[in-house]
Amino acid sequence: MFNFRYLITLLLLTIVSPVALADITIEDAWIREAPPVSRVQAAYATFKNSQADDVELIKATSPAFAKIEFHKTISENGLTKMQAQASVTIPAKGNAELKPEGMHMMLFNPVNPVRAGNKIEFHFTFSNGNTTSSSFIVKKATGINHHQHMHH
Amino acid sequence: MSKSLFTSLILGLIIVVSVVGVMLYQGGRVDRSDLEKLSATVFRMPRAINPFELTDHRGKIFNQNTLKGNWSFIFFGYTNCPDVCPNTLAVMNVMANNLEKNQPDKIIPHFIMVSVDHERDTVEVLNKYIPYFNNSFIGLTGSSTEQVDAITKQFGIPYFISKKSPADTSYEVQHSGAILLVNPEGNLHALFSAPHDPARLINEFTLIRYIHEQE
Repeated sequence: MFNFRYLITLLLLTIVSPVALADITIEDAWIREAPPVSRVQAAYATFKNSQADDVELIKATSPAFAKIEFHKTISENGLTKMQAQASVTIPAKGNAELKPEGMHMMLFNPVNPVRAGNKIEFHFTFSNGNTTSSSFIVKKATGINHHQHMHH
Repeated sequence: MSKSLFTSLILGLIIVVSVVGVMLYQGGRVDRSDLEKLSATVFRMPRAINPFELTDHRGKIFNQNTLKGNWSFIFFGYTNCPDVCPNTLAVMNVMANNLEKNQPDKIIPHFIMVSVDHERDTVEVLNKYIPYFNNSFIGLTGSSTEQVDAITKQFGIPYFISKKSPADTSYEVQHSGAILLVNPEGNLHALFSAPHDPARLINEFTLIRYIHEQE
């Protein structure tokens, strides 16, 4: 009997002990399909931070694009413009939402044209040294922002 | 249920509710004071549009007279714009589809993008770009900065081309994100500031048009 209780305790300990949880998770990851003739396009996603500290997203790469930058669409004096950002802050226990007409990833020079339905691999580097990868789906945008968050 | 069908149904419902709302107010109880509650800026006196001449994405001349006879939504942008322009054109596409489905008795307004980057956005480029969003949309470009400015200045649309050098071809164009509404008499009628929500735009347009038709 002792052995049995010992085994249960061990099992319980295994379940509740801290395991290496991913501190950043990525949701609603998508790329706006570029219209013909447009040489630039944008990618959007929600980065969720489960840690108690802010994390900076400092780098994004993809084998499908020559260069990726973080840009913020801002309106100033009646002009809408894009401002390059060195990094994106993912607040502690919070989200960084990259969405149309806000923060986005600007994708330059696709190696091959990406079409709606394609899945594109992205690699991310964070300020704490962690890295992660995520698959982004290419979509022809609908024009309704909440649409992207609707569940099927 | 497909997502687009769901979206259409929701937008359809919103339009029906708004039209019913307008009907309930009938008997002179809807008036210009209702326009002040809208997020759109409706001009007290629609403004006459001075002569301008641009070319559409099919190569035809488009001027102030071409605007007469129908409502027009006009947006200013450029094709090498990754975020705001394709998003606004997608918003316009939702509007066009819903107006078509829910108000078959009405003539669908024109949806127009005027390029503020005439150097890169030639007729040929617009000819490939515009139909991607909607076959009935109209793209306009000029052959000179003066031609473009003849419309942007009187519409109060600022833009700024941030070229790093004369040879720079990957420059950004800063521009107003506003959508302007021209009435069937060809006068500037209202202004919608960004960000744009298709349901709200349709709702407000329905009321603006109704009040204009009563006057």
